[in-house]
Amino acid sequence: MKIIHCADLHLDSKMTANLSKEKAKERKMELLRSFSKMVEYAKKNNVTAILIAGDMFDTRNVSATARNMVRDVIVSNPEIDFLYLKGNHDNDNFLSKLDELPDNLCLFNDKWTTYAYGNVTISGIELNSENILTAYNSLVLDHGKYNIVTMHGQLAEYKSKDKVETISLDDLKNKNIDYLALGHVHAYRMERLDGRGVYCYPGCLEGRGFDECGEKGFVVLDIDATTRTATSEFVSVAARKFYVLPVDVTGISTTQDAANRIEETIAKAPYASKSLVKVVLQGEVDVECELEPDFLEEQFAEYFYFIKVYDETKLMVNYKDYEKDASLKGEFIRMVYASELTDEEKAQVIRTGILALQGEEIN
Amino acid sequence: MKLISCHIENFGKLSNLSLEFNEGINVINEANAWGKSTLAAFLKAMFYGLDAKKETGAFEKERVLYRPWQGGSFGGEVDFEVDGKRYRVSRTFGVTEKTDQFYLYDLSTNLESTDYSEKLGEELFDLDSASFKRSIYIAQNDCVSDVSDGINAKLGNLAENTDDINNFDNASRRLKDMLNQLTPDRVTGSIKKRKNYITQLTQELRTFEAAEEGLEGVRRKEQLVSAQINELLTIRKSYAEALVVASEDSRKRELYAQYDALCKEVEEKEAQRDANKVSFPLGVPTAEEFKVQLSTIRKMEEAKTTLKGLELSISEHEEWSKLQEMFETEVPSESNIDFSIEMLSDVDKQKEEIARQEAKLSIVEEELDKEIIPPVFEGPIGHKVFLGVGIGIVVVGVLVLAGWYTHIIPIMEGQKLILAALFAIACGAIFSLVGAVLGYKVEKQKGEWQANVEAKRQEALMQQADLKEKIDALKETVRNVHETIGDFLGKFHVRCAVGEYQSRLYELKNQLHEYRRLQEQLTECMGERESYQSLRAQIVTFAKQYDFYLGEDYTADITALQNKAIAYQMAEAAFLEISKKREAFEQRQDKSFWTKTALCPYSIDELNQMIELADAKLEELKSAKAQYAKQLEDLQEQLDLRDEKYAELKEMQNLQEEDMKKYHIIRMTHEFLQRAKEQFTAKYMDPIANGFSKYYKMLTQDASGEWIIDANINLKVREQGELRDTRWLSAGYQDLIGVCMRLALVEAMYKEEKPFLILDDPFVNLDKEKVEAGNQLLLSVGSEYQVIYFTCHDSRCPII
Repeated sequence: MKIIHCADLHLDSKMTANLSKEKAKERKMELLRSFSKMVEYAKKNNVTAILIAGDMFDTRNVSATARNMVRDVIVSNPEIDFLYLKGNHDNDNFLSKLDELPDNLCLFNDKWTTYAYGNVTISGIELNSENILTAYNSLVLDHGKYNIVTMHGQLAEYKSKDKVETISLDDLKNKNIDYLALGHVHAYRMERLDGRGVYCYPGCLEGRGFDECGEKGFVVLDIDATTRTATSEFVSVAARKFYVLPVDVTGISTTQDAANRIEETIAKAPYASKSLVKVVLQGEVDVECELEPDFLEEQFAEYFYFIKVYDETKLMVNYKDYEKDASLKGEFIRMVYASELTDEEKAQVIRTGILALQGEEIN
Repeated sequence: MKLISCHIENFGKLSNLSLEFNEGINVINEANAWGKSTLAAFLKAMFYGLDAKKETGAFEKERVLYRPWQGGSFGGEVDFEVDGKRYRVSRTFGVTEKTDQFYLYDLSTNLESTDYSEKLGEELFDLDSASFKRSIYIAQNDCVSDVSDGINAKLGNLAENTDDINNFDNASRRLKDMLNQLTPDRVTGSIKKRKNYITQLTQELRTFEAAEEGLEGVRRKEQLVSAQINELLTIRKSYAEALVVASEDSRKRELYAQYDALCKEVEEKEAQRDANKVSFPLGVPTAEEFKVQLSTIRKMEEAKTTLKGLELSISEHEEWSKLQEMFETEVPSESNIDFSIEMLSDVDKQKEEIARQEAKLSIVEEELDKEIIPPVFEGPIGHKVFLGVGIGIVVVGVLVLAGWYTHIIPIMEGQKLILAALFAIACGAIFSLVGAVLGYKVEKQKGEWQANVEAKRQEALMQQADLKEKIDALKETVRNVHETIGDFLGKFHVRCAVGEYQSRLYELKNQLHEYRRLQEQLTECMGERESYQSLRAQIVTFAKQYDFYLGEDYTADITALQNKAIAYQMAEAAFLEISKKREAFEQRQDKSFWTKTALCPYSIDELNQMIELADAKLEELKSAKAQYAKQLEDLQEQLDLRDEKYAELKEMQNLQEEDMKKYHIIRMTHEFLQRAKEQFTAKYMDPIANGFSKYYKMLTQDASGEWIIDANINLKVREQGELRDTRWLSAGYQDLIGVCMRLALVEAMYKEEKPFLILDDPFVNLDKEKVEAGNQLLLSVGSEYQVIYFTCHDSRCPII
């Protein structure tokens, strides 16, 4: 028996971070397509149920396009059960606007709800501030079954700006859990829960920013109900991937030098042209180095679907070089050096001053 | 410090070049592209080494630029004197700075000296490499005037080759512009604008705070209504269940009534069936049996009717007896009768034939009678005419000839006459010949005709004999036929004349037909009787089998019985049907049917009313819930908007933070640059002014001091009573002032050790008068500095 575990679909997300309106719209559609691609995968591979561990939608008000698309996908695949646990981004907006709940859409609530598939059980609870204290003790699972438990929340080690409940792994240990299907964290992570089970965040289906880089997709559990064993596989489904590409530009003098370094680094990391790439220029460069990130962005614009160049280089000022410089620049640098500014401020002031004197673009 | 000599091993385009330097002016008068700037770079490299960084605007780094074309290491040595002590600096440059070699020798001992390190230049002149290069090297362009360039008129243009003081105003303006664009203090500044926008966003976000509370409030209300709906749904469900109980009760009552009715009907139908069964003590014949019996009766009746029709009437009986008697011995066949009739008919034909033959015989005999006097042949007579005429003509001709011969006829006319006689004889002979031929043919025809007449007569005689024989044979046949027919009729007691034979034969034929018909009728009648009796026996047997008593009218009796049987069967079927219905009804009922039903305290109508009320209330609550849902949706939209605005606020704050940081950096840059400029100019202003004054006097011999240098190192010269900007001076004059400025700069910069100067044909663009002034200036400079003066023309060589 196969079960798909996915989470944090964030359908209908505006996707406007970094992208133009047109591209944001395109990405929004791609996000919806990733969901339907996952369902197509389920159909082809005889998956019994798709477990959505929260945050199926991004906004409170779900657009008609997303709502209809999700409903149509669910209704047109009656052989697959869609087990939908609401996350901190979800509310009743999607469900309340459905004329009637499809038979194969199974929901959870703020009390433990269990769906049984022969010897396999899937139990879930939508955590809130009221049930978080009692949730752990009220979970009772049959030792003789393969038990999947689903929740949406963050582990104590994560710090999140979102209002979301914290899941205590310690309280879920030795509860006969075979697979703890979590949602909320947007990166894939699978680790051992206790002697019997594992916990897993499948991550999101589609990256939405450079804080969601790399492969994105869902987890397929292939369960042998008789032996109560399972194998899991991560399936990548994202239409595009986000990458952060650090480029060491230490010692360069010009933007063209930086372009050459970027070119070399890209050649070693052959990302697909449909990728979204953030190039981070790192290393130490001389304060007089002429470096123009905007120019670099333009130069590499055609390499990827989207590219952004961040200058995170550290300015290097060799003050001794200017000790005997009988010029305004020498005078300026010596004066800044002698000031009470921080080293970082000194470097930036010197760089700005030099660029100004050279008539270069000040960024 | 003064240079003594140098040797260039390899450096750029210069190779194996040794130069000796004097004190004062050293003129190197070489053509362009000789390598003057390379020599200047070599001298700088000897004191400072090669610059690690690429010079702004330079094509390549120095190390690359001056690497010999043939490759390998490069460098050379320079002998110089400082404070009366002579040294030799030797440098070799490799591919990288690490492979560079530096040696300093004390020329008095030829031992390596540690008086100065690799940073020889900086230690000697207290200036870095770039400053050294900028100051001691005065290139051609340094003195080229360009009146349109206001900057050229600045005394502060002392470092024209440098890029900073020259760009200060521009840099300062740009920084100021940026500060103005960013400023948080004016409404036009982006930071100020963003700050306002952030304030606006913060205010807007405050308005959404109520939305969160509102959402919670509405959600609670919506939950309350939902709970009420659920409660009401539960109540309604209990009503519906009660309705089910009441309906069940009612339904069961109805069912019991139905069951009682069914049982009663079963009893009735059973009684009806039993009543109908009395008529059939030995069983009920089947419908098929009745059908068979009725068919048998019908057949019996038909047989009876047929029998009646087949029985012979009295006259038929008499006729039958008569005919039996007639055909007692033999029954003729119809074919025999027909044969006799046919023979009789042939006799008539034979009689007619006899008559025809007798008529023919009489004609033949009549013909024979006519031939007793034979006929005469009447042939043509033309041949006789021809023969007579021919002979006559021949005779005439002969007579004429004879007459001539006998001279009866005169000789004179004899010739013509002989010719005519001869012609007549010839014609007569021809006529006679034709007549003879024709006569032969007539005779031949006559012979044939006579033979034909004889043949005909013989044939008639033979025909006469045949006819007579045929007539006799026919007559004999007729007699025989009459005799045969007479005998045939006699067999059946028919006696009549020959003339009645035919009618009696036809009569016999009719009698035979009648005999046969009667015979068949009698046979058929006998068969029909047997059939009738057999059918009757079957019916009687059937009646006996079921103990029926049949009267005269079998059909009526059996039909009556059949009706009774049908009535019985219908009663039986009705009984079975109703029994089955009852059985099915019983099977359809569950156990509860056989147990007593719980009674519902409400009637169905009462319950329906209660459900209606609950539905109305539910509708009301659902409407309220829908309203709350709408409110929730609106509030959720607002909160989505709030999230968007919050995200925008965060982005704005981040941008603001970045811009503030940027503003701070630019402001600090601007301040430091301004102060640096002030300090820089302050440091060099007096020395430059003094130096300039000295060289200006040298140049102009003007000791009036009719010029000033302001705080911004701007030179102004008094002209016609007013201090004027130098750009009002003539171009050549400005160039010379430019050189004075550079010299003043050198004097200001090199406070410790005076350097050597490299002048790269600075007066190349001056007219003759100005060149002279320049040369004078150069000579004056040569008294203070060691000067390496490059030129490519004798006219610009100062007379030393």
